[in-house]
Amino acid sequence: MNLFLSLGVAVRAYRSVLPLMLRPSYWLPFLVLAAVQFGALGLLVGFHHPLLAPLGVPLVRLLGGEKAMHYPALLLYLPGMYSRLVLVLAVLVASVAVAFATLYFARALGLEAGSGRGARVHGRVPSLVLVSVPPALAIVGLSMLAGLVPPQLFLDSSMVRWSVRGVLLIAVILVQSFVSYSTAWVVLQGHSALAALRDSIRVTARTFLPTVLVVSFPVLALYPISYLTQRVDLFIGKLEPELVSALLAGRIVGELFFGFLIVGAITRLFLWRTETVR
Amino acid sequence: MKARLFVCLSVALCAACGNEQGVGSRYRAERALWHLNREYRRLSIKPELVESETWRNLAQGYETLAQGTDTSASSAGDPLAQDIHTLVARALVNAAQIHAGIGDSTAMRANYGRVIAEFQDVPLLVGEVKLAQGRMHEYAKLWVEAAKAYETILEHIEPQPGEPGVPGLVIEIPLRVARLHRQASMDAAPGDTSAVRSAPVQAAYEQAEERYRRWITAKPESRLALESRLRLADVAADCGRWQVAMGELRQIEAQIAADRSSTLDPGNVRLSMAMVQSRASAAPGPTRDLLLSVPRDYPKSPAAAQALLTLATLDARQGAVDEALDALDRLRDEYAGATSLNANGMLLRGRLLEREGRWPEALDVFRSLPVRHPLSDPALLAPLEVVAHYKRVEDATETAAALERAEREYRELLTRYPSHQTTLPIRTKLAQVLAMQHRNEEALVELMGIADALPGNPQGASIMLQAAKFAYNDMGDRKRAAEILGNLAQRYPNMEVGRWAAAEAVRLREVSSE
Repeated sequence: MNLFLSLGVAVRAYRSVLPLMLRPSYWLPFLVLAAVQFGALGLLVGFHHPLLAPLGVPLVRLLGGEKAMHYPALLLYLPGMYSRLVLVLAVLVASVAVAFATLYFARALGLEAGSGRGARVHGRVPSLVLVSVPPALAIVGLSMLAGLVPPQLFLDSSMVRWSVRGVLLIAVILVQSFVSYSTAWVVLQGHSALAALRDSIRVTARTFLPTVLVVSFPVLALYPISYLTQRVDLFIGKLEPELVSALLAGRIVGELFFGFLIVGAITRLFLWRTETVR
Repeated sequence: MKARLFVCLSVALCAACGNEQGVGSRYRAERALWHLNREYRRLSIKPELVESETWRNLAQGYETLAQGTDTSASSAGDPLAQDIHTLVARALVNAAQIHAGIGDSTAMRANYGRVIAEFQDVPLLVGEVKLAQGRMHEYAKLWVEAAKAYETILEHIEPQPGEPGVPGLVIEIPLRVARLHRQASMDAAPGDTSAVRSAPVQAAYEQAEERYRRWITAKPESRLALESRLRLADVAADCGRWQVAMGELRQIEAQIAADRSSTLDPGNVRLSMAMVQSRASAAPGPTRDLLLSVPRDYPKSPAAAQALLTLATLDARQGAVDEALDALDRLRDEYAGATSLNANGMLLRGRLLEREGRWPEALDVFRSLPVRHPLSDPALLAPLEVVAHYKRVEDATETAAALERAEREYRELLTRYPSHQTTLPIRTKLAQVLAMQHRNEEALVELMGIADALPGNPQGASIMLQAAKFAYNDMGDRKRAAEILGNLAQRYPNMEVGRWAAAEAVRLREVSSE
């Protein structure tokens, strides 16, 4: 499929989701996920509050170590700690929330009604959790690979810096693209985790450009926020340290909107592609 | 079973809670202190533009932090308790420093007192308080009390020369304490030259020597040992043991020269040798040789320029005018970058030429000084030097012309450099010129203007005091003096000078009404 055709497919996939944005019930899984993420962020930022301390202090100590329990060091380590926590949430909460969203979108986009809304998610939670583990591990692995670049080289050369960032971004988009259909396979087709991952890679391979375009749009749109979370030293040194938590809150809101779009668009592509796959 | 598990979990949670609440308490204190410190740094960029009320509010912020932080949230002795105590003590010290800056000695003493009373487990801040107290005692000429305050620091903090803050200053303390005892002894018996060799003074110097030797033995190859040896040379010089002092300095110079990584300046050590030599012998020859050797052996050392200026001063004192002028020429030609020293050099050149009766040359130097080094202290003094010369030769017309010219030059400087920091010394000189012209009312207005520009600043109080004295002595206006003192008392109610001024204003009003 050439680039223009793929672009047209991606745009159509997004366009089919837009009307659903006006129907509040479709937001529910994403709002639940955002609420959990806000809760996690609040727990990290407010770990010192007397009511949160029994839970917040051990959590911050676990994720950031002793040094993260000081001000303003906490805010310096906050993006890293939050990312680690979000990976766990992605496996445990986001996998289920996205599954519900996929189901709702599939029904709205033409899939025949099954045996009730929760029926296809219920009982498939272990598979949903399992399919979300490989991308989480891949993202951790990619970050660790980026850590292998000598820090001095990273600091001295802007070309090295931006090359590493670019390669990481492309790698993240590719990983997300290849696993993007796995939830749909589990929820809509009742696949096991392994089969869902295998078939997701197969569908992505056959719909490579449209899938990559659909996945890259939100990732690129959110990149400025991701970039700023890597430069929290600037916020602490020159601006208000508290802006770091505002930045992460902005990221949650951004992910809420773009998550809605990407899950909807991927479901649309899945429905379109599985008809051909069959 | 479930109930037992619940009880066990609750107990574990409660046990953990104490420590976790301590962590939270520390974090909140750190956050509040960080924001207050940032505000403190921001206001300190141009402190003279900040209202004293703003400073007071900031100090209050620190005090509220100290008051509101639970210092008993964790068990004493653990690192968490230590951290919280350090934060609270730091807040109190900062509050005290702000109060000191705005002249509120009562609040300053209260905060310092609290640190000493409650936070002996934070040696660094106790040391900082003792240092401040020592300085206050020195300001009040309470030499023995100052020495005692400084001695306490030695009990709390190890010396770390080159480090910022109190640890970097500890190296100076034994010598400083001995010198304070010497000063106390001299003050107790004015005119008695044997007072500097009295038993308590000797004992203080012996203690200082012992302590420096102990530090040298403890870390013989360290910077601490080198710096201790430098102070040992000072101790020996103060006690008149010139050969010992010179021996120590020679050893230090050789040690620094041999150690390429040393950050100490051997040129400075050679300059110190010249200073010791100058104190040791009345004959200028050996001192001259040593001073000349500094730019010869260490031409790149900052001490080289200082050595040439010192040489010029020494030669001028000995009446060797040509040699002094040669040294000043070298200073000007070889170390043009040492602007402050060159400004002082020009002033010395002008005074020297004036003394030698070479007035046209001297006048030329005094006139070019403000052009070459504007805003330097010597440049501000130059117009007054011209006035002083014409007064000395009793030339009334030229004196008046020189005063007018001085006034014009100061006013031009004020227009050209309107920034607050530079205007204050210029305005002070302008007030002096106006007073010399018997334009007393204008001089007084100028002085009061300077005081108004320093709200809440002890320097402002000092200027107001000067204005009151001027009104009383030069203008013979007791009412005005009383009014200024009353104003001073209102502006600085918590300063000792403020309280004194209030009483003095009442007394003056009573005298005037009689």
